[in-house]
Amino acid sequence: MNILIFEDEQISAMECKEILEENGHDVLGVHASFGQGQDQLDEADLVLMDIRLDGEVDGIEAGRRLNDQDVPVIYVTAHSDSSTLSEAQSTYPAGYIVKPYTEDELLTAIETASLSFG
Amino acid sequence: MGELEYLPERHDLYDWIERWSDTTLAGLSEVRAAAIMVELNGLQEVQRANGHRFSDRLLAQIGGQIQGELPPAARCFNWHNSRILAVVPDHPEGVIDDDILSMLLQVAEGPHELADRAFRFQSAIGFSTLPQAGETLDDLITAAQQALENALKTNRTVGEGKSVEEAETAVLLNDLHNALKNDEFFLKYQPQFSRDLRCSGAEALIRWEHPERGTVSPGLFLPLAERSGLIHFVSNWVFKTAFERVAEWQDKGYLNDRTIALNVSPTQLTSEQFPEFLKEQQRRTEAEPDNIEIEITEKTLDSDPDVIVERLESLQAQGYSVALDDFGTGYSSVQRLADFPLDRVKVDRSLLPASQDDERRCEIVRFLIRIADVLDLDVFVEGVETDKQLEFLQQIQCQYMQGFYFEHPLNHDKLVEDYLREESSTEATV
Repeated sequence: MNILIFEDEQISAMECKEILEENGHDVLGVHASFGQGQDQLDEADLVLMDIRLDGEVDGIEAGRRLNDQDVPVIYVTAHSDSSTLSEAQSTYPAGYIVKPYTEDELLTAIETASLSFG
Repeated sequence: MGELEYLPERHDLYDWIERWSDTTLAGLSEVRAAAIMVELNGLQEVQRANGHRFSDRLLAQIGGQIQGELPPAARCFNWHNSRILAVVPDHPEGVIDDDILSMLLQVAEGPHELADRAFRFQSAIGFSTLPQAGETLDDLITAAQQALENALKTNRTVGEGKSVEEAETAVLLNDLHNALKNDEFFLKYQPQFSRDLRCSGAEALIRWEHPERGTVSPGLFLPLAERSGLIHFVSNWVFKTAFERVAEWQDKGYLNDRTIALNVSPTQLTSEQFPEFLKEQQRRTEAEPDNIEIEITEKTLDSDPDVIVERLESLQAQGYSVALDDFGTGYSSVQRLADFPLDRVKVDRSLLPASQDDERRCEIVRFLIRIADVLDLDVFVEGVETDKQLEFLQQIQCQYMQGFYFEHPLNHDKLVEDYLREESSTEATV
C-alpha cells in the first residue's frame, strides 16, 4: 500500500516508516506539516496523520480536508482526551491509534481500515 | 484455442452456466467457482479506428487465448467493449493462483496480431471466487468487477475480490461512523444482585440498533472497532453517556452503595491519557467515582504489567473500584489475582456448574471463592440461569451474582423503575 505520513516528531515518523517498509508498504513521504507533500496525495492509498503538526493546519483540519477528497486517514496521535476524540470523529477517519502503539496495533489498524477502501 | 470468431455476449452467460451446472444459479456456490474480469485499455480506440467487426474479432482472439490458459470448463464472455469476463465454474481452491493470474495479464497485454497488425493493451485483472464472494453468480461477477475497479483505482494490475467476511467488515466499519453520528448506540443495564437478592448495581452494556440490519451484536462490532482503533470513539461515547447517567442517579439518590460497571478495552486502559480522560468526564458531569466500577478483561493483563498496575492503582486512588471480568476464559492464573490491584473478580459463566452434580465445576467455584476471600476480593458470578445455580451459589456464600435468571439487560428507565428508585422493590423477583 502507498502510505503518506504527516508527523512533526522526526523519531516517531522514522519508527513508523520503518515498521511500514519492513511490512511491505511503500512510504511515499514523511512531512512535518500539511503544507508539504500535497503533490503526493494523489498516489496515496492511505494517510497516517498526527494531530499535532507544524504549520497553520493541524492534523484534524487536514483530516477533514482529506475526507472531503476521499483520501482515507488513520490518526496516529498521543491525544485521546474526550474533546480531541469528538473532533477527530467528526472527520470520519478510517482508524485512530494512540501513541505509544505497538507494531501489531499499527499494522492491524491499517489492514482493517484497508477493507473499507481497498 | 484462439479459434473463436466472436465471444459470447453477457446475456449468453446465464444460459451457459445453467446448462453447465444443470442446477439453479444458487447451486453454483456448492461447486465453487471463479471469475476473472479483464480490462483491455485501448480496445475502444481500436474499435473507433477499425470498426466493430474488427475489434470484436480481436476480442474473440484474446478471449480464446485467455480461455486456453484456464481449466477446460472455463468460458470467456464479452462483458463490455473493452472488458472480458472469464468464468471458471468448477474451481477447487488454489487452481487459479498468482502465477496463472500473472500469465493471464501477460496474455491480455499482447501483442495480438490481426490482419498483419500488432496490438498491445494496458491491462488489469479483477479476480473473485465463490463461496468467498457470496452465493450467486451475480455475487461472483460483482466481486470480480469490484476487484478490477479497486486495482485500477490503486494502480495495480491484479485485484482480488473481498471475501464475504471482508466485505461485511468494510460495511460495518463505515456504518460505525454513522452509528456514532446518528445516535444509533444506546446503553442497556443488566442488574446485579447480592446474596440476599438485593440489587447491588448494574453493568452498562453497549447496544447498536442499525437502521437496516436491526440489532448488531457487540461481539461483531466491538472487536472490529478495537482492531481499527475506532474503539476510542465508541468508548468515548459510552463513558460520556454512562457518566451522565451516574451523575443523574447520584443526584436523585438512586445509587447509595450500588455500582455501575463500565467495560474498558485494553487499548483504552493502556492509553496514557485514560486517567485524565476519566477526570475530564468527572469534571464535566460531576459524577462521583465511588459508584463506578471499571471492568477489565484478562486480555488487558497481557499488556505491560507495570503499566497496568500503575493505571489500576491510579483508578483506585481516584475512587473507582476495579473488577476483573470473564475470569476463567483466558490464561487464568490465580497468581494474577494477587499480582494486580483488583477489588472484585467476576467468574465467567463457563465455570458455573449447571447443577451440583457437576462436582468438578462446583469445586472450582468453591475454590475461587476461598482464594478470593484470602486475597480480600469480592467474588461475582456471571451467567446465573437456573434456580439450582442460585441455590448452589447461596450455599457457598457467593457474594454477587448476575444472569438471565434474575434479569435481562434493561433500558435505563426500566432499571430505575424496577430496581433503583427507593420506593420500588430492589429485590430480584425470582
